[in-house]
Amino acid sequence: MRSSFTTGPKSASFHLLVVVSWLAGGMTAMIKIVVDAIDEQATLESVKSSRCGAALLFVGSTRQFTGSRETAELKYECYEEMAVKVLSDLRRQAMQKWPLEACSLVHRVGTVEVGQASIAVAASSPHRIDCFEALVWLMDQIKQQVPIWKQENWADGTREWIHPGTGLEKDAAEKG
Amino acid sequence: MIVNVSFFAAVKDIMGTEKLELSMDDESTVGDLKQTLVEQNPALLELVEKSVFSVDQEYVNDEKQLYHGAEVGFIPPVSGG
Repeated sequence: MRSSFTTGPKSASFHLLVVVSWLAGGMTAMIKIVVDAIDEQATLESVKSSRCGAALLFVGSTRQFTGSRETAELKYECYEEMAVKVLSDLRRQAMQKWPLEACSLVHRVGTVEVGQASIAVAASSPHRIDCFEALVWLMDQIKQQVPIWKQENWADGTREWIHPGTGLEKDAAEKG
Repeated sequence: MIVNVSFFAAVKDIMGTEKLELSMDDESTVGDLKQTLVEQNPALLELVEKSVFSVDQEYVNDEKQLYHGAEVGFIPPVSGG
């Protein structure tokens, strides 16, 4: 990797990409907010490494029923610049807490139909326990800190933003 | 001074807009901004109490001093994932 800084006519942006990727622990690890469907397989592949015996992928998707209420679809809204910053900070913390080789975080915004993925989180590590622990921690932190909001579009035609703890939602609509 | 406030989700619905340029006294804090917003729109009261605010995409507390041109985010409880 060091040779890429000293040889060849590569651009500054290429060098920046290399540095960012290296800091993230893998050449293809990513943090992304996407509008289209999440490529779950690509998210998993992005963290795989020959140095690791474990690569783990978590996918959160739109659930059809919350209690007795049926969801037609979810709509996600995001404060994108800040969300990327917070996700980056959470990844940095996770990589300090556990010996992860790489970690990718992808969240979808806009309409997410029943059964489709709203989030994919992947990590790799030499031993599996570190991936398992890191992904549980990351998902808990993401749900508490990242400025992303979901709106339940219920099958009965009503809509409501989910703001945990405010009493605005009639039923808890926890997901994932 | 002028600060630029962004609104999201239910707050955006209450405000009827996603961004607002707000004129504040010099040396105003985030706490002062919250008070101003509720005075202008009392329907925000419950959400203001349960929300956190950001300045330039960093979470801050009520004592954070604002400045001309600051980018403020009104962040109601999040529900991503």
